[in-house]
Amino acid sequence: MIAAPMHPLLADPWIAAQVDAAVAPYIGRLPDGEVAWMREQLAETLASDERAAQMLRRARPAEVDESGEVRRGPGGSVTPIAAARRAKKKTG
Amino acid sequence: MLAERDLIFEGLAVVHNVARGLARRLGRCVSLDDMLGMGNLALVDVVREYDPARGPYGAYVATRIKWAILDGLRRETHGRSAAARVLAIVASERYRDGLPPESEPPSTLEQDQAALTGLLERHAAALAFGLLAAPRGAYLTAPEIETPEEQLSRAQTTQLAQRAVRALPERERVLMERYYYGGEPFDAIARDLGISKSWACRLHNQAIDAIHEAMHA
Repeated sequence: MIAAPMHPLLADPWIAAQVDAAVAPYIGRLPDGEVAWMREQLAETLASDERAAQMLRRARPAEVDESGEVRRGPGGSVTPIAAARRAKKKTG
Repeated sequence: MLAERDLIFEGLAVVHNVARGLARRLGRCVSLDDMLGMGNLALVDVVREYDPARGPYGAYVATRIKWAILDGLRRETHGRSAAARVLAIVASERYRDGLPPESEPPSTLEQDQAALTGLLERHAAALAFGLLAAPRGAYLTAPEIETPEEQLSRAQTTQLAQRAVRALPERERVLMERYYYGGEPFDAIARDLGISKSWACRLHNQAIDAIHEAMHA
């Protein structure tokens, strides 16, 4: 069987994690091939639907550390926790 | 104001974009030429019925052509595997078109992320519901023959979705049953129910919300 090419957006681990969480309830309920197809469809929605793309831009942290944790700063700025800790060590 | 000929010319490019986008989503099980044919055929009516008061021409044509092609695919069902995928995309696109305009964007990152999560979860519920609502056998594709365990899981999930539909308020239930299980046109069901299409879209999305809840229970 030839696997369908992965949607480019799914190469982003943070986006892939959001999509995976959305399809998680269907794993084991639908065949793996259909869940994989659903992942592609959700990625396509994020890429082609203006509203979804806008929501993604707003929700996507600018930078995410290995754990995925981020810290919010003034004015809505976002800093990965690990980076914030490193900066504190340097200055403090 | 653009002449009808110019609108057709501009519309042809939109038909091409919409058909190619759907072909990408559906994979090779549906012919691009067939979808272009359905789109081109619908374009003449779309141009005749276009009223600038309805909004920008490009967006209007894209939505009308998308539904002309999806409705055409539903009717003609190009192969068994395509039927389930078409229905899944129909459900997801109905959900998308039924979303109310965003009144005020969320103000914190947490709210933004919750909104995105909610959107993805509901699109996933719509896709799954469409796959499950397809006629028995429509989902079996040659390379993906299901194991007995997968068949059992699908049957149980189908029952879960059907129970969720049966538990919906009367009008939502009728809308979902007639549209997904009965294959009737959305506009015709809305007319029969004595409601506007936009109201029917809202009922559809409430039903998807309920199905999403049932899948997460």
